[in-house]
This record gives sequence, C-alpha cells and structure tokens, in this order.
Amino acid sequence: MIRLRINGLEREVEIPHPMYRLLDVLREDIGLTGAKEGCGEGECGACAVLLNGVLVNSCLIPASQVDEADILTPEGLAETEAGKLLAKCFTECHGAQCGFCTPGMMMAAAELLFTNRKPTEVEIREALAGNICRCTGYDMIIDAVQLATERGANIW
Amino acid sequence: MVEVFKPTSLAEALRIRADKHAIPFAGGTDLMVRFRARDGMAPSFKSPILFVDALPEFNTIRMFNGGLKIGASLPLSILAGDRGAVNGGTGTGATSGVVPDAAVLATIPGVLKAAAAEVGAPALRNRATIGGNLANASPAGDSIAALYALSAEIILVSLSGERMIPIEKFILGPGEISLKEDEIIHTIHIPAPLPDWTYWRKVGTRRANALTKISLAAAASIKDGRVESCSFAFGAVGPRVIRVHEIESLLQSRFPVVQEAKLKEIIAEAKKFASSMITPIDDQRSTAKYRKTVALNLIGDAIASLVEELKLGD
Repeated sequence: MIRLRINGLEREVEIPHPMYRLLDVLREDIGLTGAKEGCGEGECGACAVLLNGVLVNSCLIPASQVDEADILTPEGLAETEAGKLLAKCFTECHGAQCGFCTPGMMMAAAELLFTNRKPTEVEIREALAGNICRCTGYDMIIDAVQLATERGANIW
Repeated sequence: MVEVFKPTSLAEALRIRADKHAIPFAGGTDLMVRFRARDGMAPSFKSPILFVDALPEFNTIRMFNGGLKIGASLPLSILAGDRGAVNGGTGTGATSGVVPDAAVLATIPGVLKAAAAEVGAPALRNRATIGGNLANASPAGDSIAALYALSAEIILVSLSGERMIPIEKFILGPGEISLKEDEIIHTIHIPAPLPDWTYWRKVGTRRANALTKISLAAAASIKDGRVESCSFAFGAVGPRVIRVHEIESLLQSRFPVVQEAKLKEIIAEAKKFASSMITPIDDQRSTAKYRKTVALNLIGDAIASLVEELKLGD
C-alpha cells in the first residue's frame, strides 16, 4: 500500500508489484489517462507529470519509490488558472494536432513558466526538448507557450 | 517477486547491499529501461532493489579542500544548473528535498555543468544522477568524459569501509565498473585545484535525447599566463573515455604561444598524438571515419579556446 497526493487529493493505492510504475498507478488504478505511454523509455515526454513540483517521466518511476509524494497530472493542471490558460493558448495557436503529446507538452510548459516567468524562445525550446510531437507541430506549440507567457503575466 | 528495500540510514543500506547484493537504485532512468518488460507492465528486475536516493549523504554537494565532493544521487539537473537553490531544489531525483548551497553550485566546473546539461532532456535530468551515469559506464556517457577531464576520484563505501579510486581505474569497459558486490558508489571527488579553463563539446544528431557520437572534455589550470596542468578526454571514440596525456604535456611545455604559425604547429602535433590513441568504431550512430575527423577538429577548436583564455589572463 502506498499513499500519494494526486492533484491535491490523498489517495491510497494497493500496488501489485514493488516496481509497478507511477504511470500505471495514474492510468490503471486512479483512472487518470492524461499522462500517456508513448515510448516507455523516458524519451518522448508523453507521460510527464510534476513530482513534488518537478517535471518527470512517470514511465520510469517505481511508485513505491515515491510513496508520500505530491503528484500533479495533466488533469490537475487543467483545473488551475495556469492550465486553463495553456489550453486556450494551445487551441488558439493550433498547438494540438492528434493531441497525444499535448498533455506532456503542457506539463513541461507549466513547469517552465512556474520557474521562469519570461522565458526566451530558446529557453522554451530547451524546456520542451524532451517532449516529442510526431505530428511535428513544434512551431505552433512554441507559439502557444509564448502566447501563454504574455497573457499569463499575473499567473506565473 | 523482486524484493525492494528503502533504507533510512547509510549503515542500513550497506548491510542490505552486503547481505542481498541488491542493485543500488537512485533515479532509475537507466535501470527502468534496461529491465523494461512490455508496455503497461512493471519492469522485470532479476535482483533485489536498494533505493538510495532518499539518503541525504548521497544528495549533497560541498567544497572539500578546495575541490568538490558530489553525492552519487545528485540529479544531473542540479549539476546542469537547470534548477538549483533558487527553486528550492526540492523533490528532484530524490524525494528528500535536500537544498544545495548556491555558492557551492557556482563552483561546479564548466565542463561538468555543460556535459550534464546535454544529457537527455529536462525531465530525464531531474531523475538521472551522476552516480547512475558512472554505473552505466557507457563510453558515450557525457558526465563521465567530464569527470575524466577533471581527474575525478570515485568514493565507494561498504561495511568494511571506504575505497577511493581514480575514474580511469573505476571504469573497466563498456558497462563494466570496479564495484564489489557489497559496495555502493557514494561520492564523486573532484580534487583541487578546480580548473581555470574548461572546454566541452558534444556532437550528436539533435539537441536533446541524443546519444553522443563524439565528445571532447578538457580542463586546464593556468598560472602566470602558462598552462600549469591540463587534461583532454575524448568520449565515444573507444571502449572507454580516452585521455590523451601527450597533448597535455605538449601544452604544458609549449605555452604561452603568440604566433599563429606556431599555434598551427602545436595543433598539428596534438592531432597526431590523438590520432594514434583514439579508436572509434562504426555503429548505428556514426562511422569511425566521421568520429575520428571530428575528434581531431575538436582539438583545434579547444586549443584555440585555451589560447584565448591565456591571452585574457595577460
């Protein structure tokens, strides 16, 4: 049994295996499918969540290792002012095509803006470098984060 | 089902390591991939797991006799300066929330900082650790090349005590390290003096998540406009990182150099030494020919940068 604070709610989860992954806890046990399994090797960023406020790939984390941690998933982000703004900016800039990478992109963008309120384009590209978009709509995604930077001056 | 241990003290960790020969596990970014099962399944580890990330002594970075001591579980994001004391440094690779001292972070040699910053991508660096990069012992491991250039020593601990070993003796070959079944990588020691000049260049196919085709890590101590000591270490051009000591003695004896013609001569000589020592191979990432050509070109670039630094010091 492990305890996690997921999107502000205390959850207790019975894990079937000591190396059961955080991604599987979120998707299979809690039913939060915003974080996705793309590569399963930490290369694509589709499974990104914030672990104690820090961006991580949840496919590479044994849930038992992060017992008692605070997790923010794309669903939790979506409920916040920051998440709503990011969603609006991604929509306006056509930053989502098939949408598979979008939750991870938004988690990476949110972590960037929480720690750097006025990132340059280079810093945005660096922050999103671990998130792969197979539709290759990168420029629109960068535009969306730039728009969110401008509009969210009072949020970040 | 695999046994998992979460020790709360170093003594407990060492006992478990000795009794169970459990694999030390910090950020897990290599281990979770190496033992990966199918999608949606827990990885299938063969031996017990020992989580070492939460122990504070594995997460510290501090000055030591003019050098640096870096805990093996320190995430690369902290070394890279992605995040540091400014952001609280909490919940990084570890969940322990140890906050590194900003003044100490400022002393991290540029070559190590730059090499760490080019490993993977931000989310990966938040979990990947310097000790893990060493344990993985890839000839293309970026922090490893930097640690060769810094003449790092690796401190291993076991129930019978501490063992300190130079990095060249610690890395035995691709994926092979000198770590006994009861030992844990505890600290990376970068001895004084910390260098005045460093150089780092990684050549890969893209900015993020690219494995290195070839890298050059170099460092020098400068005194009175002369090179007092220096090191040139090449990554991914042999089974291990290769330090070309002939270049080092060449630069120590021949600098300062002012005339361009003489500089060309020195670079040519340095290339000749490196050429006989580096032994790149053809693989899926690159060809031996490309690697050798680029490696030799990097020498010229690095020496030019060192000369600039010497001029500035005048």
